[in-house]
Amino acid sequence: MSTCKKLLTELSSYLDNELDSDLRVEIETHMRRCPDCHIIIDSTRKTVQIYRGCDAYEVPTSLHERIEQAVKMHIEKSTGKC
Amino acid sequence: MAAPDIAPPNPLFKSLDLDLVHRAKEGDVASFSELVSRHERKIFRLTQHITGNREDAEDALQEAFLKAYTKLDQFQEGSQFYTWLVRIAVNESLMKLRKRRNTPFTISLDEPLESDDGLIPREIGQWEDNPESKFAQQELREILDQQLKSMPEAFRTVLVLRDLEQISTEETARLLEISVPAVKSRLLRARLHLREKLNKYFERGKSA
Repeated sequence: MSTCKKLLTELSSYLDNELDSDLRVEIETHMRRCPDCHIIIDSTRKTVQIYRGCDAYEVPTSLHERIEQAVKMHIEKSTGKC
Repeated sequence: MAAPDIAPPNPLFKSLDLDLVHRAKEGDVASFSELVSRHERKIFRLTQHITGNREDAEDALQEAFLKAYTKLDQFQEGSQFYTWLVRIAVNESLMKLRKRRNTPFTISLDEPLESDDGLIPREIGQWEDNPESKFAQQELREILDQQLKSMPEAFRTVLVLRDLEQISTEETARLLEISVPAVKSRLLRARLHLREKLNKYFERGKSA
């Protein structure tokens, strides 16, 4: 397997710090010599950072009320109230 | 090079959650409402990202909280309420996906995706140093929403669990009923897919 292909296969594990040290060193050595692999690693790391930084979503008041209503109806049903 | 940072869970936040759960179990509905208010925004993001569909995401959110309420007795107070809620919301979202299984452009969650297809990057260009600062949060969210919709469901679901919710590989495998190598393989493909799609927005010198 070429080192570029190997790097691609191990890319996620590299970013997640899950590689053993020998493989990590091998990948970092290759990355310094291969501009394309350096770009792929850098842009994939930034992709993960951007995605992890994605804000939580605003819940519309109507949806929040729908949830509360569903819970209330469940309680009424289970306690026999109309 | 360091991996992306992961913020540790706030112990005070967890402790308040458990207090609210405890009171909700004793019949205090207001405490459960407080739990809804505390978590609905993040759970809505999860249901939206997994289903890729606003209507399904709203239904999955509602059903997740209702199920959490009805199953509250089964919640072990030694665990984290939010993680338990995520599991329920993931299952509700997956049920929505399964109902839509016959719609076009979907890939079965059980389908093997271990070939090399789609692994080879096509877009290779240096990205900006701080790409996230290029867009306002709202714009960034719209870009991510749009690009996630174009991602096969099997990839998207793993990406949400691993990168957004930061659930372990093993737990993700259990939740999705797939193997650990399958989780790793799909996560790699999901990240590369998203990278490819985001390239036009963040490549240095490009204005999308």
